[in-house]
Amino acid sequence: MTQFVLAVVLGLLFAVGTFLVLRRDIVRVVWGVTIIAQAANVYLVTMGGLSGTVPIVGHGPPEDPGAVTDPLVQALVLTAIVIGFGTTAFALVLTYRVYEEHGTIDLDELGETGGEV
Amino acid sequence: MAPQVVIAPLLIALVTAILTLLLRRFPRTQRAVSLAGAIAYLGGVAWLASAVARESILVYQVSAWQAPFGITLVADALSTFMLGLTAVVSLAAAVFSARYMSEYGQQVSYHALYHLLVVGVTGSFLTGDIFNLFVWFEVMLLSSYVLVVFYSGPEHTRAALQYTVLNLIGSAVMLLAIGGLYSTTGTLNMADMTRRLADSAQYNVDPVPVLGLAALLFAVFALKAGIVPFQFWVPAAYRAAPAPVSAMLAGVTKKVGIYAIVRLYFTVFAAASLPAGLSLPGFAGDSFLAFFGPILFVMAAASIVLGGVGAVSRVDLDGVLAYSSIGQIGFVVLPLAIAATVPGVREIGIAAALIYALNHGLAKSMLFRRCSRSASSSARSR
Repeated sequence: MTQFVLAVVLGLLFAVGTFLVLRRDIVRVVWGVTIIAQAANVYLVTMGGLSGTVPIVGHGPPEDPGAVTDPLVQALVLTAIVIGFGTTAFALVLTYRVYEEHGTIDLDELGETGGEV
Repeated sequence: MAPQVVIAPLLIALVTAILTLLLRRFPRTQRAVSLAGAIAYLGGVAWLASAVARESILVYQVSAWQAPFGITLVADALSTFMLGLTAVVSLAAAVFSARYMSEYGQQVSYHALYHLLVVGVTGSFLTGDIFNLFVWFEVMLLSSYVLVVFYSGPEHTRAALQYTVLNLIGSAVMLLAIGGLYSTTGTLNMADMTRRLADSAQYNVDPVPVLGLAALLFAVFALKAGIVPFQFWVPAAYRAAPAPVSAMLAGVTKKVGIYAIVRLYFTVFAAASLPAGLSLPGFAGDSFLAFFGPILFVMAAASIVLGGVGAVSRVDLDGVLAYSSIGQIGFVVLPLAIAATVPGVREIGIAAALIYALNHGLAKSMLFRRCSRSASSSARSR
C-alpha cells in the first residue's frame, strides 16, 4: 500500500514539476526545477526500502536485524538536499538579475527583447 | 609511494581557491597566489602522474574506510591523462584571465570560482564512486553557473538562466539514475558495480533495468558534453561566458562528460551482458556496448554535421568557435562509437578519442583566447 501511494505521489510530483518548468514565468520555472529535484530525492529515499525499521544500533541485541531500512540512501539524500538548496538560491538570485536587466520575467518577452542569442 | 598523492591536485586547487578568497583585499597578491596555485596544480598532477606511471593504479580510501563502504579516489592512466589536460588548459586560462578580466571582477570572486571549477573537474576525474561523481559534477557546475553569468549583462543573464535550468534538470535526472542503479545493483562503487554486473546471476542483478538506467545516465553525460541532441545550450553559454571561462568550458568541462562516458560505459557497464532481444539489428555482441555503440555513432555523426553547418553559417567568431566545438566533440565521440561496436579496436579507439580530446582542449582554448584578443583590439581601434 505504501509503495502504491508513494509511486502515485512521485508521479504527481514529476508531473507538477514538468508542468511548472514549461510555464512562461521564470519564477515558476525555478519552482518546477526545485520540485523535480525534490521528487528525485523522494525517489532516492524509497530506493532504501519502505518496510524496514529504523536503522539505529540500540542497546542490547537487535530484535530483527534483517529488517532495517538502508540508511545509505538517506545520507545521499541529505547531500542532494544541501546541493539543491544552494542551486535553488542561486537560480532565484539569477531570476532577480534577469528581472533587473530585462524588466520582465516572462520568457516570451525575454525572447523578444533579447534578439538572437 | 603513499596513496595520499591522489588527493594532491584536489587539495592544491581547494587551498588556492580559499586563499584567493581570503586575499581579496590585496589584488596583486591574490593574482600571484592564483597563478602560483595553477602552477602548483600542474606540479601536483605531474607528481601524481609519475606515481601512476610506476604503480599503474593508485587507490586512496578516504579515512581508511574500505571500499565499497567508504569514499574511494582512484587514479589510473585515464584519469591522469585527463588531469594533465586540465592542468595545462587551466594554467593557460589562469594566465590569460589575470590579464583579461577586469580588476574588480578578479578581486571580487573570479579567482576563487575559477579554482573551485578546477576542484570540481579534478574530483570528477578522480572519484571511484558514482554518487561522488554526482557531487563533483555539482561542485563543477555551481562554479560554472556563476562564471557564465560573470558579466551579468542582459544577454549573459539570459544565457546563464538557460544553462542553469538545463543543468539543474540534468542533475535531477542523474540523481534518479544513480538511485535506481544503487537499488538494482546494491552498490555505488564503480569497481564493485563492475564485479556485480559481470556476475549478475550470483549477485541477483537484473540487467534490464540497469540498461534503462544506464541510458538515462547517458543522456546526462551527453548534456554535459554537448553532443547532439543536447547541444543547444552550448553557443549561448560560450558567448556569454568571459573568454578564459569559455576556454575552460570547451577545453575541460565538456571533457568531463566524455570522461564519464568512457569510464562508465567502457568499464562498468561493459561488464554487463545485454538482455536477449535488445541488441540492435546488424550489430553483434552481448555487452551493453553493443547497445550504446550505434547510439554514440548516430549522435557523433549528427554533432559533426550540425556543428559544421552551424559554424559555417555564423558571422561572428564566437559563434563559429562555439558551433565548431559541437562538431569537434562529435569527432571525439566518433572513435568511441567505433570502439564500442568493434571489440577488436576497442583500446585503440579509446586512445584515438582521448588524443583528439587533448587536441580539441588545447586548440579550442587557444582559439577562444585569440578570438577575444582580436575582439578587444578591434573594439579599441573603433
